Amino acid sequence: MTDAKQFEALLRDYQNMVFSTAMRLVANTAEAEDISQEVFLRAFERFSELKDDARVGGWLKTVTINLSLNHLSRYRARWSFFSEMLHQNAAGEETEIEFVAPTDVVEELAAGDRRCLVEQALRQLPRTHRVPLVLFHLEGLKYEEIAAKLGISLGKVKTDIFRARETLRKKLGPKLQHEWRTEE
Amino acid sequence: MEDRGVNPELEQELEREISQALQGLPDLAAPRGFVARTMSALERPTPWRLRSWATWPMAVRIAFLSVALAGVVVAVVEWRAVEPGLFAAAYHSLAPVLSGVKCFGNVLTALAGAVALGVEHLGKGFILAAAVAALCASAVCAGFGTIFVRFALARSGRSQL
Repeated sequence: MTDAKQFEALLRDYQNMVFSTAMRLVANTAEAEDISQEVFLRAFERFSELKDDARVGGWLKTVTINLSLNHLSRYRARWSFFSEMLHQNAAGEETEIEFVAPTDVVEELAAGDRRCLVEQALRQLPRTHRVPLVLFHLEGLKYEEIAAKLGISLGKVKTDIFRARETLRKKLGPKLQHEWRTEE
Repeated sequence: MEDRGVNPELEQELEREISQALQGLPDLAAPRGFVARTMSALERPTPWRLRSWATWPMAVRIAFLSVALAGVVVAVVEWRAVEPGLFAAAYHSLAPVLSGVKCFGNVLTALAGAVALGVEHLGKGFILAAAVAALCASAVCAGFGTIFVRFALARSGRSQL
C-alpha cells in the first residue's frame, strides 16, 4: 500500500475522533473541520514516523486539543465580541444560553436523542465553562493539567467545571439523569 | 466552590452524574467529504503568495526586494527634488548615523584591501587550500547542524506522543 493510501486509511479511522474532540472544544462545525484538517496535514508531514506508531491516536488527540485551544485563544477577542457579548449578564459574567428544557418529552427520547441533547447542552455552555469540562470529563485531564493548559488558576478551573456541571444538570433535567441510571 | 458552602457529597454525585452522561457519548461523525477535502488539500500545495516570505521562490524574493528598494530610492530622490530644504535638514539630523555607516564602509574597504594584499603575497596554492578547508569546515558544521536538528525534532515528536 502506498503512503497516500495508508494515510487515507488513517484519516478514515481517526476522522471522527479528531473532529469530535475539536467540535466539543470549539463548538463550531466549520472551525472544528478546519482544525481537524490542520491536524491531519500535520500528521501527514510526520507520517513516516507516525504510521508504525501504536500511539498515533494519542498524538492526534494531543495535537487536536492543542490546536483547538490555540484557536480559541487566538480568536478569543473577536469571538467574544461577536458571539459571547450577547450572553453576558449585567455584571459582565458569561451566562449560559437558554434553551427549552426537555422535561416534557424526555420519556420518549431514544438513546440517540439523549446523546444529541447532551451534545447540544454541551455546545451551548459558555466557552469558559465548556472547555475545562470537556478537558476533564472527555479528555481525562487532571485539574492541574487543565489549569496549566488554559493558563488559569486551579481554583478557577474547579469553579468553572462545577458551574458547567450544575448548568448541564439543570439543562438536562432530573428525568434524564434517571434514564441514564436505569440504563446501566 | 467551598465558599458557596457546597456539600462535598452532593458535588461528588454531580461529578458522577455528569461523567456518566458525557463518557457515554460516542464520537461525532466528521462532515461528509472530509476525507476527500483533506486528501485534496494534501495534494495541492499552498500557493507561494499565501506562504511566509522566507519560503517564496528565490526569484520572487529578489524581485520583491528590488522593487521595494527601487521604491525607497525613488521616494528619497523625489523628496530631495520636491523639498530640498526639508531633505537637507533631515540629512543633517541623520548625519551622525550616516557617518557611522560611512565608518563601517571604510572598515570593510580596509579589510578588502588587506585580503587583496594577502592574496598577492600568499600565493594561489595557499588561498585554494584555505578555501577548501573553509568549505570542508562549513560542510561539517552543516552536517552537525542537521543531525542536531533532526535529533531535537525527534525528541520533541516523542514528547508530543
